[in-house]
Amino acid sequence: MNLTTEHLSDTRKKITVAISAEETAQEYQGILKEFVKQAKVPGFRPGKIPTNIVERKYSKELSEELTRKCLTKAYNHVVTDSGFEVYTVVDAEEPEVVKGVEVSFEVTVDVNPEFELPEYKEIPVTLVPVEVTDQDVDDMIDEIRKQRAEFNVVETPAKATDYVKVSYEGFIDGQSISEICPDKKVWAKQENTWEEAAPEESRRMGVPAVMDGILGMKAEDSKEVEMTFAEDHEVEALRGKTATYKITVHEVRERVLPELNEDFLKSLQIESVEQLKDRIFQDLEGRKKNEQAGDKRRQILAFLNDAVQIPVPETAVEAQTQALVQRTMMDYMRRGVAQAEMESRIEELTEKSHKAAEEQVKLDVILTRIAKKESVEVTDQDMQRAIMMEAMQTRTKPEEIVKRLQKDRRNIYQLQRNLLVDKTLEFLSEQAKVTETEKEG
Amino acid sequence: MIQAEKILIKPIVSEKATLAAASHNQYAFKVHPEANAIAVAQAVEHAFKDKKVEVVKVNIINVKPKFKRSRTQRGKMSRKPGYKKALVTLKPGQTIDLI
Repeated sequence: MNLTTEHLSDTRKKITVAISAEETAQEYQGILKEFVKQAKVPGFRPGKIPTNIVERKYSKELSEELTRKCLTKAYNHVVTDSGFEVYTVVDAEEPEVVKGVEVSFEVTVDVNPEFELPEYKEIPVTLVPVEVTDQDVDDMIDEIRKQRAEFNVVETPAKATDYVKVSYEGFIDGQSISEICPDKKVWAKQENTWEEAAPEESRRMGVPAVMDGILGMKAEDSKEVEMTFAEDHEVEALRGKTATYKITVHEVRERVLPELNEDFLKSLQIESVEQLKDRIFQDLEGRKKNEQAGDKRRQILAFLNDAVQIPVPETAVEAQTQALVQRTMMDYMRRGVAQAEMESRIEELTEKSHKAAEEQVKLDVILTRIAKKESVEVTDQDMQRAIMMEAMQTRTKPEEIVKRLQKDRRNIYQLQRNLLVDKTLEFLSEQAKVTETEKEG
Repeated sequence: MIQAEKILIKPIVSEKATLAAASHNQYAFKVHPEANAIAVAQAVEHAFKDKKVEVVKVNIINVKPKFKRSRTQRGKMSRKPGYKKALVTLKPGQTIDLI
């Protein structure tokens, strides 16, 4: 088998495979032998049929088999011996192979680009040291108390962080906002909705003017407030406009934090304050450690991404883009976004995903290469652990997951690939050169 | 008298027949039950006249019908009909294609 390569681009090659006459003839003989063993012709015992009769009877099947076998052999040859790391076969001619006749055909493949691995040991990363202070623990306890707060109806004016049942409607120059942007009700008109009065920055999820405006209002009060929308507001029609909101308060509920007493501890199934603090401390520490590990990985990925500039196989990017778009679409569907809106956004989404996909594929290529060089391998134990994890997360039996994996071999490959990348990252994480920064603030 | 084209019913393709063709240049046919050796010889020479074959000898065999007793239907007999078989020997070097 003879290969000649034509460079189309760094990642795409056109390989011409030539199979000589002898090779096809030889292949044909092999196939014929197999057929003689298997064939059934009346008047002959199995396996005792003369070859010429088999040839006559199964001529069509024989030539099909010959073509199939020669082409598969040629592909494998291209994948293993062409000297490239073939990513996928993009396009392949499928000529008919005739025994004893030379054939040549073209296969277009996407290959992993050749590149020098950067110095991947001791990748510099800077991390914020894990440190949990008493302040953090106290904050956390406050947070828990807030979550378990009771809300009592009061007749007094609303204080900060109280919940208020309110109706409001926004107008711009006398025109109702619901006419300007009917699909964004939050900014236009709401009936009997619960808003937190002047909440903390992190929980602001409504019209700021309303949230601030209801501060100090009593039940059955009405008020008008003005607000100018920011220039980068999510709704284009509202940017830079000044709106007037008419607010009517129906009910005020005061937030009453539970005391840090025995009843409260009991509801958390904890015996003493010390124990609570201890548990929160551990929780926070674990979470921060996780965050730190995640941060480390991100930095390593960013380093590799910067260090290597390579073109990536187009087909891989395409596939990855499709996968990303699909995932987002699924997400939309679950959230109940209208079909029409999804379709209108698909183009924008594709464009956005394309870049992310390119980066992912690139990192994939780099990490696989490192894995190969460092002989990082996925063992059966790794697979088992991954399956158990998955089972725990999705609350299914491990056997079911195994069954699902076995249904399609591609799933297994996918899992193996993911694990390999994961393990390589783990390896790099261990090797990384860590500099700890001073704690911020 | 039987019509010439009705004499040869079909060639027989089997292990035994292929062997005979290879070793003795004999070709087997299923022939009309009333055909005789001379008629078969003429029919073969006629049928393969574009190859100009010469028949040296014709052996006629009457294949007996075969009976089979059913094991399930009260020993009912089933019958596989017999036929007349002709083994046609050609002049050495001459061949015909049966399939």
